[in-house]
Amino acid sequence: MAINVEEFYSKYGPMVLRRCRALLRDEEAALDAMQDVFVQVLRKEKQLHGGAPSSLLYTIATNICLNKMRKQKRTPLNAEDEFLQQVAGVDDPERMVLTNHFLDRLFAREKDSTRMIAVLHYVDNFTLEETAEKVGMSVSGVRKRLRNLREKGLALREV
Amino acid sequence: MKRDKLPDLFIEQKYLSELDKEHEALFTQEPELMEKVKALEEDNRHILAAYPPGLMADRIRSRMGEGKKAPAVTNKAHIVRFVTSPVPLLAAAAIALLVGVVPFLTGSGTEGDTGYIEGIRLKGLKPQVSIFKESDGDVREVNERSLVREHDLLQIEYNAGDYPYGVLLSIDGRGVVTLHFPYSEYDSQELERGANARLPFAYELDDAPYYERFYFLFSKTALPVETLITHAETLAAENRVRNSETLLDLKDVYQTSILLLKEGTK
Repeated sequence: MAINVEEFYSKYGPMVLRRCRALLRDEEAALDAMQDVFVQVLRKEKQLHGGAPSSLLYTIATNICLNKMRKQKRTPLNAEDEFLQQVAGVDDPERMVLTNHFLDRLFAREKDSTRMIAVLHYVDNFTLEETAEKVGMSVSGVRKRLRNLREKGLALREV
Repeated sequence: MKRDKLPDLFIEQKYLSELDKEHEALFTQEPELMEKVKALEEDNRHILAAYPPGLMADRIRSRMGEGKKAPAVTNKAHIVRFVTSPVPLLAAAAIALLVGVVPFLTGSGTEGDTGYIEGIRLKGLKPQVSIFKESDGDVREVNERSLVREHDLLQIEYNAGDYPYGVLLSIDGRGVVTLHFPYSEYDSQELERGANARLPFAYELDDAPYYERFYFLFSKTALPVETLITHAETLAAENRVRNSETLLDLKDVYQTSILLLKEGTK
């Protein structure tokens, strides 16, 4: 499927930019990430199977932004820490009181996909089923990752 | 199970008519969600006005290694992170900065093209930079301490000599640092070859007071753009821009600078 870049951007660019803005909270970084999203999708355009690519673009945007946040711990506001506070705090039955240091430790040894799962489920409010679909895992696999994350968080809190 | 908050993606998909049937029902159950869908239309308009499809498509293709080099998006919002003091996004967006406009010099700007650019010739291998100003229909070259004013259009040409890479940025009297080339810190710094290479956009000066200083750095290897921006921010924060003809001492880097003074301000 040959994609007209201008039309594709016109239709999906705003959505992707909003997603990047929400995660990165920095206009310059969001604009940069948005372009990376389109580059990544367009490089695989032959693999796109028509229909509705919004879900794919949204997931790729999330992934790219999380990677950028991990690599660029240099913003004055440290958006990542604030963001991770959300990840750890929202919808967590224990309502852990978490410090930035704690969050860094919590996610330090986790797979990238765990962070993605946590964002989709805790921050975006996707159900376990929807989260599983987006990351290409089984529901039980997603549940297990979140359970492990919570247990690790509790263990760290007790240290 | 009712959620506290619907994922933003569903709102986006509803707007795009890409929502599956299962989730469509949510919008029937909660009609107020349609207000959020409608709000996207207005936001989309703002985004596409700030980052036009033609320009962004060029930038995306450029990153993919296709087509022509895309011009910088010198949109106000685009350079927020280079403001030296923290400015909330909305406040920063209200400040008029350099705005990219259609170039006023004609022709391709490469060697052999004359256009308005008489007097710009290859002299040995030393890089050269020229800035041209269009003001009230009159085009002329500006030099160190030339007077300029709001709404003047500036177009930049260079001869990179035998330096393959370069960075061009400017700092205005408000301390705002603007990266003109490369188009972002992640884009290629490779310069055009030829006597009179030209940046694809002219720039309209905003109402920033006092001055606009341009720094041009030419190098045999790619430069640390992020470091240069940080250093420019430091110069601005320490009020040293006016007297600093060199941005940063770097080995094997040829630097030049032009200070333009804003008319009516001291």
